[in-house]
Amino acid sequence: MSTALLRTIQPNHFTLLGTALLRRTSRSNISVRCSGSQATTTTTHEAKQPSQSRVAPKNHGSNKLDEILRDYEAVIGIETHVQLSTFTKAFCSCPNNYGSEPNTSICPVCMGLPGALPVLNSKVVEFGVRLGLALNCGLSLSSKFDRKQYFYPDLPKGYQISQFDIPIASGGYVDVDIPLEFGGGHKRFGVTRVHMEEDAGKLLHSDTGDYSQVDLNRAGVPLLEIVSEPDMRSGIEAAEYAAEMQRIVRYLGVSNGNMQEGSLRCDVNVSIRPIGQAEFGTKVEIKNLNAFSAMSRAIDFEIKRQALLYNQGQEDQIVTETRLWEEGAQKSVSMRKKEGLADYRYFPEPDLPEVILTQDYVDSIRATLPELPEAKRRRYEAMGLGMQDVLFLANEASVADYFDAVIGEGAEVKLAANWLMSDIAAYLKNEELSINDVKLTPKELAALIAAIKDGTISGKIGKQILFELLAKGGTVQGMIKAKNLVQITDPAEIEKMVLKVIAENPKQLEQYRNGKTKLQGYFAGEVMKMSKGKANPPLLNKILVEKLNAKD
Amino acid sequence: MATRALLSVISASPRRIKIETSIFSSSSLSSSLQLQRYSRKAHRIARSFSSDTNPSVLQPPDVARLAETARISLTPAEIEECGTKLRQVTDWFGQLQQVDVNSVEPAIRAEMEGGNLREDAPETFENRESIRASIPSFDEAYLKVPKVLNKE
Amino acid sequence: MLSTLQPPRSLSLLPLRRFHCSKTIVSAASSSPATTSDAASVSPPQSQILTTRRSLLSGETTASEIAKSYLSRIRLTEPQLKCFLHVSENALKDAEEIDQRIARGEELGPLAGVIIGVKDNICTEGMPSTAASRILEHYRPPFDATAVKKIKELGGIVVGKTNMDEFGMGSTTEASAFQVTANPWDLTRVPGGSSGGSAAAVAARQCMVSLGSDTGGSVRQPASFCGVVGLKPTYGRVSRFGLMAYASSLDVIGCFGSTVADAGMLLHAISGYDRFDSTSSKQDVPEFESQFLSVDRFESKPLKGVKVGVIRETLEEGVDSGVRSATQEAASHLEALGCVLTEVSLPSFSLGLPAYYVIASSESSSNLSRYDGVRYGNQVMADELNKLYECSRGEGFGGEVKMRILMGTYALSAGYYDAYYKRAQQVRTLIRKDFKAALEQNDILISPAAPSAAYKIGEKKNDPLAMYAGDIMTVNVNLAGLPAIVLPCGLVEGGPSGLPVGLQMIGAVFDEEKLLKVGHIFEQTLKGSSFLPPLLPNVA
Repeated sequence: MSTALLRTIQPNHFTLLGTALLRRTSRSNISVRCSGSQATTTTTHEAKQPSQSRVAPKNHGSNKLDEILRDYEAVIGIETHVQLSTFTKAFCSCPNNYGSEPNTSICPVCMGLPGALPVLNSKVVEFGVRLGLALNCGLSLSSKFDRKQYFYPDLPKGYQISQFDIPIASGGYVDVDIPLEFGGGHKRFGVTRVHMEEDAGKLLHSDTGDYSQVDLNRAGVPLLEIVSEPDMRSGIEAAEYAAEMQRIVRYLGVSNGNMQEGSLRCDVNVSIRPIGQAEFGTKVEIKNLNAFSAMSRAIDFEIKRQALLYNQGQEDQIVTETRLWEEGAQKSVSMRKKEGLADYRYFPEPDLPEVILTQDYVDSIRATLPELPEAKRRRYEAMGLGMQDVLFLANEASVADYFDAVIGEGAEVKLAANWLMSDIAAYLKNEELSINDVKLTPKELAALIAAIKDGTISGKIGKQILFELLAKGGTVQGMIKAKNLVQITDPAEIEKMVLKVIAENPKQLEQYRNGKTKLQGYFAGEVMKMSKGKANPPLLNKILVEKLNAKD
Repeated sequence: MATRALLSVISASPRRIKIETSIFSSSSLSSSLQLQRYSRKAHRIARSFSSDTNPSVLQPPDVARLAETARISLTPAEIEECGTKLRQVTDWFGQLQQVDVNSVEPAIRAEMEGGNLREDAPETFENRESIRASIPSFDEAYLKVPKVLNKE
Repeated sequence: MLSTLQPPRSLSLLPLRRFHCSKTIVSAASSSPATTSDAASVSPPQSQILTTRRSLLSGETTASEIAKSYLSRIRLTEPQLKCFLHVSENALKDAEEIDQRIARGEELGPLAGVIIGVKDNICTEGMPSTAASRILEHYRPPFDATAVKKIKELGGIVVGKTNMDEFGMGSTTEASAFQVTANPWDLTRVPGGSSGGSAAAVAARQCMVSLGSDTGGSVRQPASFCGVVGLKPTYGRVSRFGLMAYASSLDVIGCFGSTVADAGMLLHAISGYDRFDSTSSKQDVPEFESQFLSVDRFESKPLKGVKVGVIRETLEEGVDSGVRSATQEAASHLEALGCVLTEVSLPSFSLGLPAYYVIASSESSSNLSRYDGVRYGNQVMADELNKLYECSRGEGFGGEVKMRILMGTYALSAGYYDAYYKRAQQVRTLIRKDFKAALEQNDILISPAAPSAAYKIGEKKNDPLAMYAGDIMTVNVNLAGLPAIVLPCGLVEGGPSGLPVGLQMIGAVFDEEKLLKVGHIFEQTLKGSSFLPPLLPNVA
């Protein structure tokens, strides 16, 4: 149940329709299988059985494919472009707004007018440092910009200001937890570099294809490009890496990480090699991936495509090229063959001075970093929560903060987690709200939990008032008083009601006494109704059974 | 002074050639002869230099290809003329190879203070209408360009 | 005919004089009729900026009168000279505004009423700015270059946009897409380049001062050819925002004037850190005006103790003997003023030229990528994108520009970067080191500004290396980012009455003050010519 909710609450989290089967040969011994399996993990937390309900078993026609795939190892690298949520563009003070009227956020600089010069936005450096630190990178205290030259209508100057050989950050890594339904487990993927650059404009192709339209609002918007080490070995790993990137940039507040809007873009490079071979195979680039699920499927498709070619002895047909993923057809098509590498004629940008970072500056930024998803996950794990709960709670900073606040008010960890993951999550989904929008404060949720725990109200009543609290706010105590919800725990009072109900339902009593013991539920329900739900259930049942079985 | 520059390259070559040290006069035939002699020599020097990335020789410029890269159309006559001039000039560039630049830092520009960043505060450029008015093919709020075949 | 070049009577500029000195003109058999020795006592040249200020404040004349007289001189002389690509329609209106301000008793800026020419690669809002290229033929920028903005704020009047070699690539204005400017000293000769129009306009008194740009000598060489003062500031002293980039790490905006004082005061007006140019310097700009003392206030040896280094490599073979003599004369003059002269050697000197051309062509090939006909300028329509680019650029750019773009594209191509661009940058470091060492031992360095005086139009057009060779005196200064000034120091044979030759003085980083001081004193004490070009033939 919670697994399904896990997915609904995380709309960006991918769903699997069919995965490749790969035996892992690397250090961790997780095997990922569609039919669900025991996940052997190297961490100490409780191993949960992955749910088998959501994952469709592969059809047996491709068992042969499985065998083929067994001989190969996929090598996947990801380039992620993160559009920064600064107020202005990278090199000019034009507003950085998504969705403005075309060609309105323009000026001589971002339009590449004669005589215009770039001036670096200090926020871009700050965000670059933040992300670099969050990805455990080493920072270049002195980095520079370079010009990457090519002609395209969305590139006003005929070159993109980027960083070529000295990026602002490099040599980092990211730790992820693979979701349980895909085997779970802890993985670390390397990050080669993070660098600053500017975005190009938008090119829209006409229906006829005769002409294209250019909107330069986006030209000059700042980007951070993250290049991963080719450490991923499957579509799932790649998708989880990308999901973690999204989490991190959102946590840091450097970007809204929105794939649909284009503020998070991933291009993947996929190659395979026979197991045991040291050299990498020819890598193929895949673009046009608009969701993590698409990423995962596209990668799996590509792995299969390459493996089949290998198997038929046609590995030379695997060429360096760019392929576009077609979501509708669920396949990739070749976009262009790369004849050798493009020559961008890089050279250092003479219009911009070196970017100098002082140690003090770096330290001051490090001090403002929030607790990142990985740290949160480990902390929640240490609290005794299961991975399901951990992954859910740590997925969004706002949810984690809320949760921390609730337990900060003294609520029991597991109970708080349950409330958030079930009823509250469902409410958020239905109302299309975020946790920041609800009127129920963490303090009151803690109060609710406490009120149920100490028996003041029943769990059922608790659920009922939850929705009102979420929508309208208010205090638990206040609501209990106003609606007279205090649980009835006085045995005498309950007894009165029990006896009344029994008296009013002689027929059922007789049926019960003749053996239809299931009718206890009916009686219980009637008592509940009479008590307006306030009767304490265990006590109610105790007394009810007593009275039902009594010989009078 | 170009004479001196020419001389410095030639004298650095293994075979010493006697060159007339007349005053450099641009219009004289002798200078173009000097240039030709130099070109052949420097060409050999240039060819023997191996670039850091590719052990094979530096190819002389392929004008047609360069023009394509730079998106400039040239008539066949222009290609020919450019080619000759270009080869002259790039041969002349070859004398840079003679310099010992071991452990010399490349200077991107004159000495520069680092920094000069700006605040992340939006400013709207007032004369946007004029920018848009300058666009040759502006249609329904977009710049219109003909179809794109292949992005390089 | 004399009167066409003479300023209106109301302005107290000095009268025209002939220059004669048998030592500096190599051939005594000069055919010029006016070589009589009346050069005995000539008043030193006066600052037009200061004179304008005085006469406006005293009411002796009005800004409108001044503007009218300059506009009429432009009309008269332009058919021969062709210095301007565009004459402002608003000059008179701007002048009238100044007069209104005076009438209201408002404070005037230091450039109020000063008639200024602006090189056409410097953006002037609403006024055509073409960089002398067809690809920008009708382009009117939506903003003023920062230097222009400052001029306007201080009351200066932009009278027009001057001719140049296309995008700054050239040394004669012959590479302009529109016209060739004639040297006012001899209409069959080039004015120099690429800021030829700006230099000639000041020489011909079509404007008082002008702005040019200097990437490899484009202010200093035309100053020498036209007999005016050309001032190249330190890289970063003046904002490049609005200067159409040629080579970003070398470009500076420079100043022309008929006196050192004028060039210096114009420079002061446009200098300073600009938030729109990350390469502009935050270094304080000292006020220069106090350097321009009147000559009667000079001490006997006004430059006593100033150490001057003569760059040996600039006086060796390849330099015209007339230029060499003029330079040596100038050196003697400096000695007479109290300077201590020594010879300095800059070992990497000769490498500067190829290094410069590699860097300049590489950077310019990149800077000119934006001229593709898509967002502004002349577009050649096509049904396919690359064709549109190729045709717009192919037809919009002139031959020299195309050459330089190809050169630069080649030099930056994969596999060639280390061999060319990187190496050139390393040579640049060596050159900087050499200059630094020399300037630690000396206050300033001197050299000729060019190996020869102005040559004939058409003479060097087809020989690229010959043309480049002429830049040898000037490019190293750009590579090192240093300030330099060129001021006329003598005449050599040629033209109706000799051709001017300029002395280049090079200073240490941000030390324009010293250059202006030495330059001003040199100029004010130089015996002889006021360096006014001879009569223009056939002008009524």
